[in-house]
Amino acid sequence: MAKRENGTGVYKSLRGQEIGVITRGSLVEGLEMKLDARQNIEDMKAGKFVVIEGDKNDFFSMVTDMRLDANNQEVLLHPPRQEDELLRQVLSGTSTYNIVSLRPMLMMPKGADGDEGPRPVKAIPSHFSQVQDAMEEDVAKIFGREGDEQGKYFSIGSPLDMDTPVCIDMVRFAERSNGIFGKTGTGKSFLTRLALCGLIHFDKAVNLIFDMHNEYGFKAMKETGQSNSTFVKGLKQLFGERVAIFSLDPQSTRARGVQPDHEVYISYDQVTVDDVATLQDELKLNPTAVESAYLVYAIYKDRWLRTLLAQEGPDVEEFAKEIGAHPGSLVALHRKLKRLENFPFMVQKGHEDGDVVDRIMEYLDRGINVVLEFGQQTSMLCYLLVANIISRRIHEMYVKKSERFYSTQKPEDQPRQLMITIEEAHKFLNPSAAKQTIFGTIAREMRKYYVSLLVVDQRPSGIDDEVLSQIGTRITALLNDEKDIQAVLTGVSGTDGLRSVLASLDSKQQALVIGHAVPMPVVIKTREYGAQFYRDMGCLDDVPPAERRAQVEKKTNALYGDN
Amino acid sequence: MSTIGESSNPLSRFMSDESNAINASSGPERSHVGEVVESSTTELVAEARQLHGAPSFGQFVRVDSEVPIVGIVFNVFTHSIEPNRRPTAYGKTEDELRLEQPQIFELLRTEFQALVIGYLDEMGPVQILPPQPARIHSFVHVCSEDQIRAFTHTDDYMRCILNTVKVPTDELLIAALRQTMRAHGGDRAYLVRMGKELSRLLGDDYDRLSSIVRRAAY
Amino acid sequence: MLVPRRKRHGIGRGRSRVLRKAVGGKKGAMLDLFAVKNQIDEMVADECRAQEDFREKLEMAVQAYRGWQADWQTLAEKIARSRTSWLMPGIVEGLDVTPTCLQRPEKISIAATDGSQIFPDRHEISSCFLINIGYILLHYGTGEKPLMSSKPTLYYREEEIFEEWDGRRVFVNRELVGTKRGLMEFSELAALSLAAQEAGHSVLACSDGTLIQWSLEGKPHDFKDYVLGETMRDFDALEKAGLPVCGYISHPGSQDVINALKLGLCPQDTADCDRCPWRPENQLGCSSEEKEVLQAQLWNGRVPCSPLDGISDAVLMRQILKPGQRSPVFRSSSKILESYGRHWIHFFYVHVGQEIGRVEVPEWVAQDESMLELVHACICDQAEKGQGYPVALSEAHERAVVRSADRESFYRFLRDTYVKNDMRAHISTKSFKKRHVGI
Ligand SMILES: Nc1ncnc2c1ncn2[C@@H]1O[C@H](COP(=O)(O)OP(=O)(O)O)[C@@H](O)[C@H]1O
Ligand SMILES: [Mg+2]
Repeated sequence: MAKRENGTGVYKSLRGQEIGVITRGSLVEGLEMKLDARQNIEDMKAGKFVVIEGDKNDFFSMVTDMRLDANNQEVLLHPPRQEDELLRQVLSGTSTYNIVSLRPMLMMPKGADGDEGPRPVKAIPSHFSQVQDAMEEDVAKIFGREGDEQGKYFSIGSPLDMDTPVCIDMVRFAERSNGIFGKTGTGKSFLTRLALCGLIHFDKAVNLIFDMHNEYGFKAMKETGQSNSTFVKGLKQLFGERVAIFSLDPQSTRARGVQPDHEVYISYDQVTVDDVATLQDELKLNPTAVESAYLVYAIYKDRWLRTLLAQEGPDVEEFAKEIGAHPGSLVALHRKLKRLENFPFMVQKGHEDGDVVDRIMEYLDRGINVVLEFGQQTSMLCYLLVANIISRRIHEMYVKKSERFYSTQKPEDQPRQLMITIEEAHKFLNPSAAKQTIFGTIAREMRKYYVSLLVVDQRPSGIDDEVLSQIGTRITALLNDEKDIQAVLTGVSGTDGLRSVLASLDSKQQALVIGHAVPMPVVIKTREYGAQFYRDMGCLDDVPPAERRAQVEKKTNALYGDN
Repeated sequence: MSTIGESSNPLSRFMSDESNAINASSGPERSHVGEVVESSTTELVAEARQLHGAPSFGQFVRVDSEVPIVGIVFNVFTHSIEPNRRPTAYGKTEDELRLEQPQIFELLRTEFQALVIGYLDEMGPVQILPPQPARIHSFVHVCSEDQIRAFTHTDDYMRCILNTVKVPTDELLIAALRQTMRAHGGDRAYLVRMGKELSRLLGDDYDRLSSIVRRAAY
Repeated sequence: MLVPRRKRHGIGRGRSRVLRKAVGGKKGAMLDLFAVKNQIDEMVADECRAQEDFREKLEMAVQAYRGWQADWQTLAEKIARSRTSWLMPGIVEGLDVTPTCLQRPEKISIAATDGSQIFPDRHEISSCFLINIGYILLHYGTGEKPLMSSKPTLYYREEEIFEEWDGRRVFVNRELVGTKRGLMEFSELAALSLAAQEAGHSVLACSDGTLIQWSLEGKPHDFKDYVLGETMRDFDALEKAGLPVCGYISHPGSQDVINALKLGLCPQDTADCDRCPWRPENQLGCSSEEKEVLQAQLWNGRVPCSPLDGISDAVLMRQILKPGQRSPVFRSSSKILESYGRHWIHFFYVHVGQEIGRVEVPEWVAQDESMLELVHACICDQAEKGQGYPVALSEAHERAVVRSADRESFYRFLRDTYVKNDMRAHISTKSFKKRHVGI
């Protein structure tokens, strides 16, 4: 923001109140600001968004740390008495003062308008540059404003102590794999729901959501801090036709008051050895067991699992000898895979509705987002198995589609960008699994085949580094574990400041957003997922009839003209 | 007696020029409290117009010189005008003395010293020592609250006081601060601001700072 | 012992360097205390003797005074018929009265003047002289601001520096300047007090020193007439205004009353000092018996009235008066008073606490009881306020006084002014030498 010459040769900032001046620092380690004596140190929260007004540039920065300091031992040895209010006021900012560490994230030449835009920080402001609270305009300039022509900006919250929306660029968000992290109960699911709403509302990607806890499709619980929990709307409620619910447990889905669009059955023939291999950890299979599975497959092909599970206990050893597998391993494999038979959705043969993956693909092709609910089937084994099987197949199809598009180069052949949402992502993406599961592949090959991931996880340290480094945008709620924080910040420069910011987030509804979809890291207070948001998403269910009519009319008029 | 004009007062021939002058100048338009009798760039001595009538310690005064000069009173003293005569104790109240020993009050003078801290020009207060000292015999006035406010907007006056060795620095600071506080309508924020400036001016002397601040706020 | 012997031997001269060093430490001129020692001893012994003598004499004087108190008319008559060589006071009030001072009126203004001068100095650049008059007008009981000022007057014109009296043209000397100053003091006092009265005050005029112009005796006639004429005009004006005036003499040395007592001691019925039979030169025609009788009447070998020699009225009155009291009023017998007419000077002594002062008043004050009471009361009050000396007079002195430093400044200023105006300044070398003692 430009400064105005006020006739005395001194430039006066047009922003609000000065909160301090820059006293020292470096490009690498960040800057230190002496807090203005009139400011209360308690207002300087980690993650606060401020602007340093240099001579030529504005530096958009984040508060990362603060420190109490005194220039005189005497003061600390004989602090003013409690009733010496005046003396304390006098000392504050002089003998005793506060230092706030700032991390410049972006810089923008003064007077530049939109087109020049913010750039990465390659300089630091001079001594005693003023530091100001960021203003709405600053936030908009950096993060864009919802409602732009391209419809790419989606607000997911506002900076600390501000009411201005912080937007993420949905186009860029959809381009890459993304992560949503945070301890349990910090708002991951809410953030995910928000992100998905953004993608759906602005139609930047079609989603396939493996909804382990039935939180996305229809109605989700909201903790209220009291015993009576309330519910928030799911995607189906917000977007109706544009969302289809597939259920592995139709009964449970129906019990929650919604008819699933499709029931999911998986035949044993759809399960590949690779799928089993990814369950290695979960089933505690040793490598030789997986070897033997390949032997079975070599002979029975698609029917390998059905054949194997058809063997009764004592026959397995015999069967092993037949195919030349190690009997012990095969017995173990057989015993463990037997658990799959307990899953009600596992069926012997293809269902009359046809293959579930085809159906999903059909929906996705039509741009309808698919939420796959697991109902009561909340075991990790089930989740891993199903997600893997389906994703692998979907991925295969996408590879083919993409290949065709690359050869024809016809726009109508261009596949829709697909984003697959998975929870407990570290189970799929831990260093050993990442090499085998389809998710590892998707994460690594980036958007070559128009598929990306939205990983939701509470233990990011469990995720393979290589995968983490491919994650474009990270939305991170509070994390306590040092390793998790480390993991989230992998591949981000100048992270020491952010580390403290991350550890000091509120335990709910606050998040740090870093990466591809935002020009600079920013701490946000997450957008309230509630009535206002539903309305913003165009869902008028809860709006009183009169108002709703008015809104609809307005829209109609906008479309067909006023007559 | 003052109402009788010079010509009609039979005693006027015997009066000193000075007391004739005072009689002539005792109209309401003369509001001065003293007259400069010694003057230098940094300091001035003025004779109070009335015995015991000097402005108070720490008071801001203005001298009507070529450019109006602003100072702070840092010393007030009353003494015998005759070097070899010393006042002695009479054991009487001042009223009794005024009736029965009227001559002694003629032999006493109240004088005050002021530290020059700047001057006023058309633009307003200038916190710089004036280019020329106050003229001898210029009149000294007490500064108006507006003038004090304008002059004490910055901390320069405190710096002036601190930089002068001759004055009882801390006491003068306290008196001046209390004075300016009053002019600023008891604004506590002002006192805090000045306290901060003072903290800076005093450097590391926390002990001194706390004593001054505590007493100034008393 | 070494030191006493040395002391005895060489008074001031032959002392060794060592001793000199030990005693004085400093070289150069100094008072030789050893040399003075014996003389001091002698002096003190003499004083002691004199003091005993004095006490005895004083005792006699007191007894004589008391003795005459009842029978003062006899003494008064004897005074009237005798011809003495000393001033003899007229006893007008008797000797038995010692009135105590009354309360001073609550509201009264005391006027006083004093003068001082810079004498003409022929060695200075100009022969001018200066008279400085100090004016004091103190208002009691009203809180009104007092008048305290001084006015200098410079005399430099030919006719001011040279005066012609009795056909002789003389350069004004110190005496003339002194007289002129005294005259001014009095006329200014009269003017000041009359002005104060005009301004609505009730005033007492106080002059510093005697009101008797005895120094005029023996002066050229025209000079005497001029001075007395001026003085009488002032007295006339004061009398006409009914404005009391007095002169106060501190530490008076006068012996008028003692003289009267001395006369009382004289065995002669009508004394005639010129023919004092006790003086050997007057005994030429006396028989030896007669001489013997006269011899027996001597006191310590001296004439019969001699016991009271050396005693002053003040010393006597200290024994007679209590603080606040005054002596009876006496009529002065100075010859010059013959020209005073209605203003013949009377006097009384007053015990003001610290000292016995002599107060002189013109006849019309002495004869007006209330004026006399006012003078008495005010003088006592003034002396009390002034720690023994009337405060108005001491303040007048403070205003008037020209100190040597002032004198120096005066001449410096004078010279500077001459130089500035391009006049040749000339100072005689004598004067210069006086100022700077060479080495
Ligand atoms: N954006 C939001 N709007 C409204 N409430 C929220 C929001 N984010 C978090 N919350 C609150 O925090 C609670 C925990 O959020 P949740 O997403 O279930 O946590 P997690 O999935 O990390 O365990 C929610 O039940 C809700 O009360
Ligand atoms: Mg959750």
